[in-house]
Amino acid sequence: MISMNNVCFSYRQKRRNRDILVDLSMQFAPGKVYAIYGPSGVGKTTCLSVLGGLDTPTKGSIEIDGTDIKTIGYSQLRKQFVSFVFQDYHLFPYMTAIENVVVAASIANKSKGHEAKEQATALLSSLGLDSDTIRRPISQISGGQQQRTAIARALIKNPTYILADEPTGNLDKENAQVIMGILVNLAHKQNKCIIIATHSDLVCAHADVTMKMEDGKLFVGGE
Amino acid sequence: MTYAHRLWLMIARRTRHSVSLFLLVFCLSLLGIISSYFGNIVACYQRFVVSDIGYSLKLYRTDGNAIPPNVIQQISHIKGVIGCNQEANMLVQPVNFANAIPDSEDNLFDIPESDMVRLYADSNTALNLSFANHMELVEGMLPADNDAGVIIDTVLAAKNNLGIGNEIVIKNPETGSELSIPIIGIYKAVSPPQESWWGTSGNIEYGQSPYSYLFCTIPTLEALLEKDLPSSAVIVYGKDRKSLDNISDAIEQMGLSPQDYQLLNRTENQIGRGTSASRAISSASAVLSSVTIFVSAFVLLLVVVLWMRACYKDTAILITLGAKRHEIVFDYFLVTSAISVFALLLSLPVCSLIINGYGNRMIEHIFVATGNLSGLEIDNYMTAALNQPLEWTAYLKSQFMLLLVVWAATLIASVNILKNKPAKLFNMS
Ligand SMILES: Nc1ncnc2c1ncn2[C@@H]1O[C@H](COP(=O)(O)OP(=O)(O)OP(=O)(O)O)[C@@H](O)[C@H]1O
Ligand SMILES: [Mg+2]
Repeated sequence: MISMNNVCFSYRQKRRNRDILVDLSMQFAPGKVYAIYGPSGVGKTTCLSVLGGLDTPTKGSIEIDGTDIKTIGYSQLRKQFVSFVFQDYHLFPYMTAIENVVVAASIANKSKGHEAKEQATALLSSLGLDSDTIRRPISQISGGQQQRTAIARALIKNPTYILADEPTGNLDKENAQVIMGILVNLAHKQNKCIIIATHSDLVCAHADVTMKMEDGKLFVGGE
Repeated sequence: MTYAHRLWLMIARRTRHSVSLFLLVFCLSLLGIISSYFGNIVACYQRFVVSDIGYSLKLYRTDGNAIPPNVIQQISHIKGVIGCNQEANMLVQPVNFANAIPDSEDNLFDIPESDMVRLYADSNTALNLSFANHMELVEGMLPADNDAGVIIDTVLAAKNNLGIGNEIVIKNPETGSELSIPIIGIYKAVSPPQESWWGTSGNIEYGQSPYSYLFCTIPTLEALLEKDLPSSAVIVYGKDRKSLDNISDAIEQMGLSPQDYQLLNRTENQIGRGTSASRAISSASAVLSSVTIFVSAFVLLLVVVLWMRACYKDTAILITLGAKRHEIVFDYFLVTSAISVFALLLSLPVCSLIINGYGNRMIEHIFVATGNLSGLEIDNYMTAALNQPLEWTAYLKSQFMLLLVVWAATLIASVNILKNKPAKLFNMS
């Protein structure tokens, strides 16, 4: 269970604080897919950042199973518990798709050399990337293929929590469905907690819980 | 993927970054090595000068009268003064013996063939640095004021079958008068002095065989000249370069009339004004080393900082994958160091090629650039300095400085990585 307890967050803009998250409390349980929607600029990405410890809340705390993430340690948190899929992928441009996935495994010390490579190849192919594509540099594959590489990178660590920002933003409906199928499967079969920020109705339709973001708070089911 | 493999990808695939850093360090290293090459020449030049003339001042009377003994006495007691010596020398013609010239090829400079020898007259031979720094007495004793006598070199002695107690006869080439002097000591030349003289026609006269030095006292030379030397000049030897200034001040405060007395700092005079060649190389070395130190430090700093800035996004990704920030900084240290060390190592053979192949031409260019178009006066000190082997420790020092700059720059650029949360780093890139 990952929980946000009275979290406040604001950006400093033009010498004034702009509140993005206001006294936000919410719990996300393993085994479920959560979809966060809301108008552009409302703070969905910021919410995921704070949740995964990429930014620190100005007030409040984030806890995993009752332990503050500061106590767990950010490095440990990211090696073990949390993976990100970013809105703009954030892949290493100088590596191939498969290298991008393998490097994540090696940093998290998950598996050794060839083992990681096999695992990565399998993951990428389950996401619909053929063996030719995964050996090309990131700059030479399409946006949708990059997005799927980013998802594979998040999955290879086998974390409990996956924070995905628009993971289907660049995909056609078919591919989006495949990916959502995989994510839902992970949640239901492997007891993962998947939190997705999205504008897509398809994603919301697949999610177990949908939340609307408004005025710095999350409202389950839009209420 | 192993750790080394990951770092290697960072170097090999971010080609533009690696190559620019490599080229910069490589070029600066060349610059640094060439500047220390010139610096080495200057240092050698100074060392050779000091080994021949020491740290010495020359006090002389402009009217040609003798300096009173009490003045010399007084100077000897100034703090930092090692001793005072009256020195004179002249070329003389051997009569009952022949000059000896070293035949070995490995001499530092060409010794001109000459049948003349040079007679050195000193009030204290032990203070004459041509003797003190280059020769060792192996037999007999040094010439002293009250007994006439000369010391000669072992090679000269052996060649002419001479020994202590024998007499040599020399001829004053100007007057034709001859003098017979008993040999009272034999010395051995360990290294050749590199003295050279400004000839009467304004050109430099080169060195002489180390075996052709004859040392005697002032009265012996006076006997050959058939006239009294006015002893209007005295050489004052100091402890080190700095002490010469104090000694100068002390002599000035003795109240000697400035119309009658002149004081000359021989060491500074030779080192500082030197020949046009030494002046040109000194200034080139000074310019080059200041360029390398300041400009290169600045440029290198800038490039490494930019190099690191371009890595902010990568850094943020690594953090989100679970790497610790200080580990990432360490990675960058390894990567920038590896590129730099590779560039520095590669620059060594290139430099040695450049210096061996074009060193002389570079020096010629410097001479031209500094306006010495009309030929160079290169004295023996400079000849010897130019022929000094490359001193690798000095080069390694300049290379280490560059590495330090790279490290400093990496550290400076790392502050942002260590200070900011990953979300901010993503925004910064
Ligand atoms: N680094 C920053 N500094 C200042 N303001 C920021 C920063 N990042 C985001 N913002 C602002 O905070 C608000 C929330 O941004 P956020 O990226 O969380 O929105 P979002 O809900 O993910 O939008 P979208 O659906 O377009 O992705 C926006 O108005 C944005 O302009
Ligand atoms: Mg967003």
